[in-house]
Amino acid sequence: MNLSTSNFSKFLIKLIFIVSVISFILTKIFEQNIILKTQTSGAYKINKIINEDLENEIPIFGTSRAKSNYSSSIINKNCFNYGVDGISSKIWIFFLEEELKKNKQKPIIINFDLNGFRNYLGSNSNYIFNYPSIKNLTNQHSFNNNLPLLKYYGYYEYYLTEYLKYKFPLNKIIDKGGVYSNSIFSDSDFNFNIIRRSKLSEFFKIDSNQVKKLFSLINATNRKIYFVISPYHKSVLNNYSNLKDAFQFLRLLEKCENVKVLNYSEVELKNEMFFNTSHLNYNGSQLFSKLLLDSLKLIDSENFN
Amino acid sequence: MYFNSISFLFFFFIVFIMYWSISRLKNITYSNLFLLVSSYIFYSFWDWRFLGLIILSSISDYIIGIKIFQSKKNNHKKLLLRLSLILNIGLLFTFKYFNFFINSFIDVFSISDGVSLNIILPVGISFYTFQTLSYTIDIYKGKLKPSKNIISFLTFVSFFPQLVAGPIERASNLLPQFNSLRSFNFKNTLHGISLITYGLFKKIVIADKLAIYVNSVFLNVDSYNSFSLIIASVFFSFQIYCDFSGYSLIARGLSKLLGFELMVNFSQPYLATSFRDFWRKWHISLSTWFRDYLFIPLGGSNRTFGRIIYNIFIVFIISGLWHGANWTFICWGFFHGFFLVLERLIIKYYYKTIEFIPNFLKTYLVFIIVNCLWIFFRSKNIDESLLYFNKIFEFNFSFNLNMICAHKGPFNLILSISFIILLLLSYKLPKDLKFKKSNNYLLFNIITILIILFLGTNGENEFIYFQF
Repeated sequence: MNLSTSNFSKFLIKLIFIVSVISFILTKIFEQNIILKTQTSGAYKINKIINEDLENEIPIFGTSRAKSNYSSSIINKNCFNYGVDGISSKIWIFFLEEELKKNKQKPIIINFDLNGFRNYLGSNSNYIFNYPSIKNLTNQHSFNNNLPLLKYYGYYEYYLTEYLKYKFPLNKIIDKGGVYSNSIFSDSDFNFNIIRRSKLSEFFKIDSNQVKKLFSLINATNRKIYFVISPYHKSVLNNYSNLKDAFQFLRLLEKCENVKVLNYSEVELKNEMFFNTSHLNYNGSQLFSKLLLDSLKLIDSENFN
Repeated sequence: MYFNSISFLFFFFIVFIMYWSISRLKNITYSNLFLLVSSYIFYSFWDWRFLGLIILSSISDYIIGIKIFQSKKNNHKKLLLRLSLILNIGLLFTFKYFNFFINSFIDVFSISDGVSLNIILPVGISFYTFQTLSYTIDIYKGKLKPSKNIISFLTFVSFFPQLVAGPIERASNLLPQFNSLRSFNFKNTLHGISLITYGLFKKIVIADKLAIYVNSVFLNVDSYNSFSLIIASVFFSFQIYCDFSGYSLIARGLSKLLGFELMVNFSQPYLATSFRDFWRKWHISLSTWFRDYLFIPLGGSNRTFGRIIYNIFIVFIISGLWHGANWTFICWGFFHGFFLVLERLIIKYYYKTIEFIPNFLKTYLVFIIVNCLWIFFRSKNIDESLLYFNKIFEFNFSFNLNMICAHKGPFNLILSISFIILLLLSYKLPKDLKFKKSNNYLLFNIITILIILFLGTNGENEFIYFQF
């Protein structure tokens, strides 16, 4: 090895070593102080469901509709909203699976979407790739996910934005994992939303693997599970081609002893209660959560009072 | 396989190690042969079917080059040169412009049924065609002797760091480097790494970030007000600069790591104080190519003023067309020509007046015009660019945060502006990133790599100039 190549090797080793050490430190700082401090982010919720075991906590699982429609504080002081943006049933079934590993007796609330069982995972920024179960769930076995800085490459901005939104919510209200918009759209804007949405064809879909897994989880526990269909704007329901199949499935689900289905899909709420046709705004979520609490009090006064 | 992908990093790492191991044998042919195979493998990742096109173009120019040199008669030389021009420009025309000219013909003459071929544009064809063209022209002019080694020549044409988007190297600069032994040089390598990291910073951190805002606005020009449209046009000016100059820096850096020296392609073009200055700083390899092989043969500046104006317009319209088969590029080229002519007129008649204008004002004015002309370059068609200008000149500056942020959030806008400031601050670095001490190289690379990892935009986004 001549002088040049030996110098170059030394340079390269120094460069890789220093970058790795700084990366490792920065990643840890960022993970602990930003990602895991943003209660509203998917990554925080994933980390929480895997690591925290709070005996009295009543979890609410689901997609962005769960995140925006359920006001945890109204339903129960021990409720936490685990709703995550952009995900599908595949992920809330994972949340349920993790929850049922815990030695708890508190009920579980699941927001059930009428599009049924889907497989989309949403953005990678919803996850924290520190656990093998998450790598399996998202099928992200890339080597990059083990390297400091590279494992969050391209998502730092997202995490930081989420953190800032959580810390300084401008037009949103934050409540134990839930995020609620307090803006009310004008009639014309809302109508535009309805027209845009009406172009989409909606349908209920069954995924036999997910259904099988869901039933096996339900049957393996004696914890009460409430499947709640939170309100949709009526224009959305009109787009569904096979709603009957969805309700037939829910009836099947209700045959399980520890399951109760609460259907609010057809509750007619005014336009000003919606953020868009499938998500409620802050006022809508308050109203719906009160309605839900009234029902829960009747069914399960021990846990909801 | 993009330069900004992990797969390229692995590819280059293997090539780098093997190349310098082979170079120890001190045999130029082995080293060149290895680079040739690597270049063809690299190109095959894009589309192996077009490999034949590069080989065809290279071999024919290699043979024609030798024949021109050996030929004693001028007529014969001229005939061979024409053959090379027809072959190279013919390939370029067929693959890049055939559909454009046919469709324009159909539009002009309102013919209902036209012949339109489903042709894929081979990556890098505009770049390597111009490179081989300059080779035969230089031999014809007696400025260059033909390459005696076919491996060297094939490697010169297909050298992977600059194959897909330049710089368009002159045979007189690059070809001799393939005919001499390369030895590993520590300082050059450090310089090469720094050029690569700085290029990646420009591409991944700045260009790809600005693209988020720009794409959002250009996708729906009609729904934005003057405020957003002006921001998007300024962002696009910086996006295209960082994208292309980033690529050129990476190409130079990779070449340096392999012991080659490529020409500097950009020299802080937005600090230009005139249009002439801008074209001395922007895509230097292309502008000097047009100067040497088109403008000067047309008569250059040593003609009547009218003829000079004609020459300028010819060069810039063809330069626009070189970028793409679309009227938007032709307009872009035409207006650059127009402003160059205007500038010459102003200098000719009002030299004493403009002498007193401070340089920063000149820079500002040139930037504003260049920025406006990029709107043609970025638009899908002329109608879209006209709509863009119309919407800007509505002077609707109503405040709507969502619209000002192009529906991408205020944080994205703040970061985009911050990155442009960061770019301008990076101009304070030593010229061409030539640091005096190796520790400075180390510090620069650590900071740049960390910035890329922390602030880089996700996804392997294509370089804009790859489409040309």
